[in-house]
Parts: sequence; C-alpha cells; structure tokens
Amino acid sequence: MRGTSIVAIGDPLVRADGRAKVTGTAKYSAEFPVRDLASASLVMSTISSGRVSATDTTAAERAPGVLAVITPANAIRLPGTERRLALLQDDQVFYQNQPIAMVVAETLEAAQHGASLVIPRYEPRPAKLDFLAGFASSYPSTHNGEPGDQSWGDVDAGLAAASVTIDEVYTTPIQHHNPMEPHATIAQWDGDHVLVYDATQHITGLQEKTAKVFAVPKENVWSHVMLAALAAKQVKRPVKLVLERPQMFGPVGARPRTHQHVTLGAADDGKLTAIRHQVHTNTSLIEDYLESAAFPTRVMYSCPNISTQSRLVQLNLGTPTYMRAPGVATGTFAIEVAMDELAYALKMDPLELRLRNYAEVDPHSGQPFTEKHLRECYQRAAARFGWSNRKHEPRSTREGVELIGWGMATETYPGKNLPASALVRFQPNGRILVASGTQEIGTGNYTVLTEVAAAVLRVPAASIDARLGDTNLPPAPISAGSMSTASITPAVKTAAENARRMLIALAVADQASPLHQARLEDVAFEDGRVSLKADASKGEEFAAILKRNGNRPVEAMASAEPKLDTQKTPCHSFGAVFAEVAVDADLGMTRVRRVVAVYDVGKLVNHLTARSQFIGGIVWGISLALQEDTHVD
Amino acid sequence: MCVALAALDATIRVQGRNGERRIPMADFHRLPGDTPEIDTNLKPGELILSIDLPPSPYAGHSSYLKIRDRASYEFALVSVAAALELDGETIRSARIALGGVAHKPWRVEAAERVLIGKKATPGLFQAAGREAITGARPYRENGFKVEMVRRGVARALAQAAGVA
Repeated sequence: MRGTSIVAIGDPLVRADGRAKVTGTAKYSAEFPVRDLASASLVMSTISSGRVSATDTTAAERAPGVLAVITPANAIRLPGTERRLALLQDDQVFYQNQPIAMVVAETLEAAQHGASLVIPRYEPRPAKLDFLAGFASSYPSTHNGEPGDQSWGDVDAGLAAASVTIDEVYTTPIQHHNPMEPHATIAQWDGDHVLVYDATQHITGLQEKTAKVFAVPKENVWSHVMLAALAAKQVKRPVKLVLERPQMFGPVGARPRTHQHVTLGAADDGKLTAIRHQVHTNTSLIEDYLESAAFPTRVMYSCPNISTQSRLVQLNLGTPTYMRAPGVATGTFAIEVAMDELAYALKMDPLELRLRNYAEVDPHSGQPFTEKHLRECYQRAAARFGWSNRKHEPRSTREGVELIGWGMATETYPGKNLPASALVRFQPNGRILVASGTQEIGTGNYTVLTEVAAAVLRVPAASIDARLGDTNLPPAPISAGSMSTASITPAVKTAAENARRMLIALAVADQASPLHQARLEDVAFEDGRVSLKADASKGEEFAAILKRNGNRPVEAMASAEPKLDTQKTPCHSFGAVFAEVAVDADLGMTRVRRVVAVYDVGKLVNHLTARSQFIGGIVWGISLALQEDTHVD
Repeated sequence: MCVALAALDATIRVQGRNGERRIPMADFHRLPGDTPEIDTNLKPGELILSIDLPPSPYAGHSSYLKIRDRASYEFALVSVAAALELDGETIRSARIALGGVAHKPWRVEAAERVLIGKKATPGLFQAAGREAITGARPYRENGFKVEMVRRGVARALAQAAGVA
C-alpha cells in the first residue's frame, strides 16, 4: 500500500496548496495578523506631467483617525531612492495616477477618507502622450542586457532577390494585468530591521531593493513595497498598504503599446530571403523598459538575412513592465500574421510555408538547439486539429450567419534558468521539509518542490511539507521567464540526496541502530525507512534514528547553477497552436471555438501544473488578440 | 431582461406606505438629468411585488439579441428585443427595444412604425434598422454602437420573423 503512493517526476500530482486556496484558508499578503496595524491610502496625481506646487493637507490632518499625511514636504529622506519608484521624495509628476501623497490612519476607512481630503495644486507641463509623434525622438535600448537591435546578412539584398514581399505594420495596444490579489504590503520596523509581507514575484529581489532604498543591511530586511515601509517608518507603527483597483493603472506597470513594421521577402518556393522587424514601443519618462517584441524573430525561421530593431518612445505614462509573455506575445503576433500574409501571397498553405523555413539550427549563431521538436509539434497538432481539411480560400466556410476560419501559428520562448538553492530536512516528527526562498504566484511551486523531493527520496508526497515565500530560506530566483522549475528543482534534488546521505551516515554511526557499522553503500532509504538493501527488514523509520540522536533534524542545503551556456548552446521552447474561430459576418462577434496546441518545452516535472500553464497561455493569447485594450484619455 | 420587458409592455407592481401602484416598464428607469444618482422611479420605501406581462400578440414571433465581446460573463454592447405580430407574412404591429445605448431600455417607436402593414422581408428589416438610429447621438468612444444597432435591429427582426 505504501509503495503505491511513490511519486515519479512528471506525475500529475494535484496542487499541494490547492485545498487551502479553494477553501479560502490560504493566507495572502494583506491577511497576516500584525498587532497595532495602521492603514495607508495613496493620493494619486490627476495630471500626467508637471509638478505638485503645493499640497493642502489641513483637512486631512484634522480628520478622525489620521496619523500622518505624508507628502514630499515631510516624507523622511530615503538614502537610496529612485525616481522611478515615486517615493514622495520630490514634487515631480511623470504620469497620471502617480502616488503624490499618502495618508496613514488607524483604519482603512479613515485613511481613504483622509486621502480624499488632500488637495494638491499642480503646475502642469504639456504631456507627451502621442505615441506616433514620439517616433522622431525614439531611441535604441536593451532588454535584460540583450541588445534591442541585432542584424545579420544583408536584408536589402535579400529583399531585392525576393519574388514576393510583404511589407506591413502591426500594432498592439497597451494592456494591463490585474490579478485578483491586489498589490498588498505590510511593513513593520524594529530598529533598522524591517519585516515586509508582500505579494511579489521575487522575494529576494525585493529584499535587496528595500535594503538599498533604506540603506539598511540586506539580512535585516524581509522584502518590500517601499511606500508601506516609508509610512511605517514615519508613523513608527506597522502599516498595511493595499492598492485599490483604480490605482493599478500606472504605478505597477502594463504591457506597452507596440508598432511593428515587418518586411518579409521570399522566393517562389516560399524560402525566406529576408526578414526585417522594426519595433516602436512606449516607455515612461522615468525609466526605460523595452518590450522585446523583435526578439522572437531572431529564432523563429531559417533565413540568411535578418534585421531586428527596437526603439523606445517616451510617454507620460507609468513605466511599462513584463506582462505574460513579455515581448514574445506581442512579437510573435506580428511575425506570424506576416507569415500568414506571405502564405496567401504565395498561394501556399501557412503550415507548409513554416515547414519550408524550418530552422534546424539557431538562425543567428548557426549552432544546433539543445533540442527542438517543433516539426513533431506541427505534425501532431495539425493531425488532431484536422488541418488537412482546411480550405485555403478566405470566407469559404460558413455556418449560418457565421464565417469559420482556421489558423495556426508557431510559438517560441527562451529556455533559461538561474542559480537557486533549497534545503531538505528530515524532522524528528517523521515528516520531511523541503524549502526554498521562492514564491508561489499561482504557477505551482509548492507542488513542484514536494514532487521532486518525494520522487528523489521515494516517499509519498503526503509525508512532505513544502515551505517558501520567506527570505530567511535559501535564496531562489524570480518567478518569471518560465525559469522557476528549471532553476529550483536541481537544487532540491541535490539537497535531498545530500540529506539522505547524512541520514544514512547517522544511522550506521549509531550504536543503537540495527544498521550500526553497515557499509554506507549497502544502506538504502526506502519509503521513510533506513534499511539494508539486501534485507529490508533490517532497518527502522528515520524518525527513530533522529530521536535517539538528540531529537535534532538532519538537513542539507544545496545550490544549483545553470549548466548550460545558452549563448553558445541555444535553448528554446517551441510550440504549434491551431485555432478555429467563428465571426458573425454582420455583427462582428468573434468566438474562438477550439484551440489545439502541442508544445515542446523539455521534461515536465508535473503534467497537471504544466497543462494548466499551457491552457493559461492560450487564454492569455486569446485575450491579447480579442479582448484587451487600455485607453488613455 | 429589462429591454425585453420594455418591448413587451410589462408593468412593475410596487407596494409603498400609501398602497400599491403600477409603473409601466418604459417609465421605470430614469434618464440622468440633474439627478444621475437616482436610477429608477421607485420611491423610498417601495418594494417591487411583481412584474406583470400582459397576454401578448407577440408571443409567437419574438427575438432577443445580445451582442457582446464574449459568449459569457459579459454585458451586452448592444442588445435588441424585437417582437412582431404577424398576419401571414404581413406585419400588423411591432415592438423594438434597445439595450446598451441609453440609461434605460430604449423603445424605438419610429422604427416600429416603419414595419406596420408591410410584408416581412429582409429589406424592410434593414429599413427599420436605419430608422432605429435616426437621431442617435454617440460619444467619442461609443460611435461603433450606432452601426451595431442598425445591423442588430435588422438581425433581431429577421430572427423574430423566422427569416434569418
């Protein structure tokens, strides 16, 4: 019975934190009970550009329950402040909905009421909000250290040699992500130690940033939102700051607008002779963020002449940010629609066109990919979808008032990982702890930690507790770029193996153990027991060993470094997505009727959580294409 | 729902401190005027007892069209309630109400009159759609709704007549 519950890597283990989440018992950042907690409420700018010349705080300060009204006039000075963070250190306004004051009060209601009584006076400057007009003063930039511009071959010559060319502009709008959990922070100072509860993608990164902004030692900080920490420091009480839904539009980023000029050249047989992908995208006046929309074009198709270019346009908007999947969602949209247009110009099946330009090796470096199974993705997805029954002619399939369209596209995403660490601890109570300073943002890290530890140690998942979300734990990277599982699980594996070795060593050294003086290599850890490989009856539960040895846990911490130099060995995920869409020909109502997608993303640690992520990606793609558009007025 | 009720001449029966009264559906909701905070003509203390639908000559030929971005969890961009009283192929009377275009369900009686006494054809329904948007005053961000109403009215009438 016990043996049947052993976990193997890839098993569709259900979410370790699923029950807590669906029953409402999972604790979110705003829900941690803290004694003497005050509430903060932000006042946001109603102009896009200029300065706050004066702020009348008289009424707010007199309002019941208000502890402090914090403006640039009285905010404590922060040693390591950054203008982009808008930490009330100066009177400048760079975007509408920028925090310009903060009211701290005994209750949320008192804070919100106080904030409503703050009267800012503005000296507006003309705001830069015309995206197209900003092209003239646009400038190059980088994304995570990678160049925004990269070209090889001779695109002009490639276009001159082409039989067919496509030259089109594709645009995507500003889009905001609004998670159900609001941005929420609780900050509590104790001397120069600050404890921060926060909803974040990267607890360690925020810890480092908080330490820098407040110039306190990093190990004395837990993680961040600076304004809550500032408020807590100023009123000398713990403070909770939860962004209200309207405050999500500006200070916490969005997917920026893109304008993508794509030029393709191809020979009669469909072989690409040139690709040019020029991207204009907006950033703010306070920080450069480049939406890397031109980047996927560098790995998608085999072509001797490729030019990718990125230009930033400064606008009086909040700084854009990484939104699923940064650069790739926007960029593949443009290049893939251009490929479809090319297929029609060539009178060629869109899938056939992609197969004729299949990149067997990385188009830029000429190096082979670590692995690439995109061809199989195309074949399997096409077969499941029934692509061979497709009619090429536009508007050729109709059901009642609806036109039915079939389309497909290629997906790609960089395969990266970062250094990470984890610990595994055998506990005297018979349970095993696996822990890492990562965070759970819905992607399944509790489950993945549990699964890998259980599989390595050959114990049931139910005997494992996973812990994360605490910067006192061994550090782990940001939950972004589809890197977490690949980064953390090697550390978990090594930590588990090391802890097991220590446990066995303890057993054979223990005179009271039935394994006393056995050779290490003759002892196994199976199903929670340390026993002889040759005679499993000779052994005992690991908790018994710990109890006899001071009732102390046995624990090992391990770090894992990326093994692969992705500069030299290109590593990318690929996928093929096929969709059937119905459009009401008169009323324009658009309905995605089915999507078939097949992905090549390497080894799955958990098929269930991976499937959830694929479905989530498809839903985001549908939403990007059909639903979302932030209007700036 | 309110749009369909407006098309079908429903009345709202309410009970207040001073007894019962009936409010025609078309008069139940208010335009904003100088009191945008008051949505309906319900008085303080009044409770809705029932919504009464009269026996309807339109029961056999009606349609409700909801034009929206998603198939579910979405308000209508424009909705159209259309109902026809038919004598063979001839329209004796008609009801058309719109949603998503005003602060209340919007009856378009001029478009209804276009139909009376005529033969139910797609061409006639297009004419009713054109009449429905006469005098429409869109704002900067909702101009698309005018054309959507024109087409939606034609579609809903065609569905009601069973010729869609």
